[in-house]
Amino acid sequence: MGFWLGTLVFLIFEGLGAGIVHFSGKPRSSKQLLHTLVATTVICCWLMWGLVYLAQMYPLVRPILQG
Amino acid sequence: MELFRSEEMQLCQLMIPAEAAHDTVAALGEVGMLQFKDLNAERTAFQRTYANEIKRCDEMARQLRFFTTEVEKAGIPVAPRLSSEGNLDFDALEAKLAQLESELSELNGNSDRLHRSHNELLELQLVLERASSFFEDARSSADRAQRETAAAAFDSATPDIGAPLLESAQAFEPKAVQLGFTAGTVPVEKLAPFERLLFRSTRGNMFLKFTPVGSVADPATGERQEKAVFVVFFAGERARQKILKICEAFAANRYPFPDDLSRQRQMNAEVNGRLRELHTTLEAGDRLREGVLQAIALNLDGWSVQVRREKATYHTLNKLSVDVTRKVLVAEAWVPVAAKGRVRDALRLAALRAASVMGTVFQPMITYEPPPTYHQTSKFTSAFQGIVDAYGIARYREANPGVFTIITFPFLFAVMFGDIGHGILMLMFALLLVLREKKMAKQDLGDILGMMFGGRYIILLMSVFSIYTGFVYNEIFSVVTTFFGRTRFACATDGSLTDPVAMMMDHSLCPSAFKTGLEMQTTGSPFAFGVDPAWHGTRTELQYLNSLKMKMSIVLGVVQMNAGIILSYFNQRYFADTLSTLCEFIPQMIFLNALFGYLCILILLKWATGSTADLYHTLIYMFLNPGDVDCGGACPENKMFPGQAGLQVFLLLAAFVSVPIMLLPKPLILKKRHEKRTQQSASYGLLSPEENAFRFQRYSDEESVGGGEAAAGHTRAPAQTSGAHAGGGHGDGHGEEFDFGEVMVHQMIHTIEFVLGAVSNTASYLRLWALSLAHSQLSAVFYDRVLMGQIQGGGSPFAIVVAFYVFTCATLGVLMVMESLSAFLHALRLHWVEFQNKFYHGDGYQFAPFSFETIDQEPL
Repeated sequence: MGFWLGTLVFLIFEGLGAGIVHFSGKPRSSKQLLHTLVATTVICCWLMWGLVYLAQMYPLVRPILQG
Repeated sequence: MELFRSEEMQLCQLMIPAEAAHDTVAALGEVGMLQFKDLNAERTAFQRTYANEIKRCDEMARQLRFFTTEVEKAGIPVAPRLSSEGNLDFDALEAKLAQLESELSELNGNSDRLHRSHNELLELQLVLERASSFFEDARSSADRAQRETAAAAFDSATPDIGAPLLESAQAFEPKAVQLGFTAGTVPVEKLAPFERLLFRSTRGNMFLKFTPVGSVADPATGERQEKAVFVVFFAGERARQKILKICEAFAANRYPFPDDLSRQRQMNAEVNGRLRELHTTLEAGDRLREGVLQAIALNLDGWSVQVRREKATYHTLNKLSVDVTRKVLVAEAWVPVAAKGRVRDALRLAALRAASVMGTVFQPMITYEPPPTYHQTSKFTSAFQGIVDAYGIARYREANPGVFTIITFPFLFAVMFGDIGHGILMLMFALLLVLREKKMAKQDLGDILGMMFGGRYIILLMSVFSIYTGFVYNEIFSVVTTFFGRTRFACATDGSLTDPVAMMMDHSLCPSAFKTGLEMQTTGSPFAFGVDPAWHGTRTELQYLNSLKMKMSIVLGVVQMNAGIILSYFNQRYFADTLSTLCEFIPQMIFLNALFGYLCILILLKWATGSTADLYHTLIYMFLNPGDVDCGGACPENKMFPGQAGLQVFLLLAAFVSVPIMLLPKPLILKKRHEKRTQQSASYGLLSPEENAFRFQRYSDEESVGGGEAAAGHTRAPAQTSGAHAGGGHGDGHGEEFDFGEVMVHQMIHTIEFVLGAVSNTASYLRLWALSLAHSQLSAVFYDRVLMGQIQGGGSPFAIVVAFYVFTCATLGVLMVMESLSAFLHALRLHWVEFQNKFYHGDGYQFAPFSFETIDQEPL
């Protein structure tokens, strides 16, 4: 549940970025480049977050304090 | 999409009327969008049409370099280029430069001569002063000696017994034996050997007197040297000859020195007078010379720009072939299709200006050569494109990895360099470079800073992503943060107890925390963003994070490699290479994903379900014992979903089948196609025009190339490229040869490389984990052991200050410089090798247009 919620947040970011690029008034070909950059950024960030999130859902090891 | 594929190029022919050739080419240099082909490659530099003009340009460049050194020596600032270019034409400029050079060299010669005689007179003056003092000293001491002997003779009241014998000795009067002498100056360091040689050559029959006079300008070289004034006394003509020769050999300057005291004085006065005179002359000469140099400095920059441009223009003209009638010059040049309009306008303007009867003819040509690669980059993208270009220039119109590198490169760097604090430090540095870029672009920054300035946008993105991954790793200078809420772990016996510090302070609060560990309160709903702060500093932290980062690296790697293979599909579709899609792209996708894609899915599945399956075991026994997941019932936890055994057997089979598909069909089909084509050409005799058109089209434009006739994509291109480099003229590569053995070997290497690479590249991505581990451990050591060790250990304030200093130095030196460099290099490798070898040929050549803008940057 939390994972999909987080994914939605990243989707919102993607939408925001795409919107900013879309209304930036740049020529079409550089808009395409910027769209690719935004999408790549969001995918990379989402992957990183998602992997760490998933990895912590059911930890097999417990944090044992030192001492 | 911008930057994804290089600009469309076209080979164009220009026929330029000879009388307007120079002006036209200069106008094209102003546009800077044409790469001229050398049509006279077989001619040497001296046989070309404009060899003479180039020689003249070289001469002018030499004169300008001479002026530059003279102006710099005089310390006159060179005025920035004035906008008055072209106020002198080529011949006038040449005459002007030649005149200025002769004027300047004459002035230099005069001033050199004057300086030499000035220095000579100075030395003479020194010799006169010092040598006369020798004589005076000698004379006074001789007088004293004489007086003493006379007094002693009177004192001896009782005559000595031996007195009569010595009478002759006492009666000896210094007869006027004519001793010769010569005076001069010699460098101090040569004094000892000089004296030794004099002594030996005259067998001791000489007397050398010298005194050092300090640093003196040498008349011959004009440099300052430590010198000594000497006087040598000798007897006889032969000794004189020898001594003169020795003086010459030791670069000792001899000066006339009159015996007579009055003549000495007279000479001294004369020398002083001449020195004063010379001084005023020298000053006047220097003023004149400075005036000339200042006038030169005012125009120097403008002239050197003009000469550079002229030279480049004539070099370009030399590449043009001259028509037999000598009325028209024919040029062939690569032009970006998008820039053709500008070129046409420039040509029209140049024709108008030259008032020539006919304009330049500008028309496209058909060619078989691969065009140059031209990516239009901005100041932001150029550094990233540089990363790709350093590996290899993209083949014409192939997919450019630079587009993705812009984001994935800083991202992979940040995976290895994740720390909020270090990211912020780097961000400050990057912002410094970016915000001051206008100012810094004009300065000469030196090697290292210049390189960093060139990559300022890379550093900026790297730092931003580092801050992001720092949040994910939850580390700021290796200290844990709680930006995203409270930990989800609590004491197993007391759910309200979450603060590990409190538990550390009082072990009795929660004894189980030290034995079995903290318990996750909300299973299935972990810390919202990043690593839970509870892990920080626990005994199991490394064990847990290593497992996490290792698996994360594998998943990131497989995703990036898949992206690379998909890009190869884009290339194949663009070049209408269906055969490669079927025989390379599809089996490659199947092979990689059947093994490592499946591994990633298992990883995600294990995480999402909390399964305790041993993935190493699963993957190894997928090969060793297909169809048996749970060790025959001995390890039931390894079975993660129903039907897993069957799926694994299927995947394994798919991977095995895809290998021969990668290897065999493509070369065989290529061979069959070639045979068909040779049959056709044998029956027709000539190359069919459709084929001609097709080949042209493949290198021209239009996304929709006739898909049916998919010729060999990259097996043929290398031969063409080498042909283009060697031949120069168009029309290479008509009768291409098909060597089945070569194609087969190529395909075999390609297949083996891919299959082995799938394993080794996946393993290679583990460097993400290793580097990130090293980074966090290093920063933890510096923080915990160095800084906190002192503070917690109750060190004195002084020790804490020292510890802080050490911590700062280590953070900046080791982490910010060395660690970031190593993370940079590893990210570079992951892009060049693991990502780009999936699709990037990189055997193109860079578009190098004839452009005044770049020529102005070059040294003269």
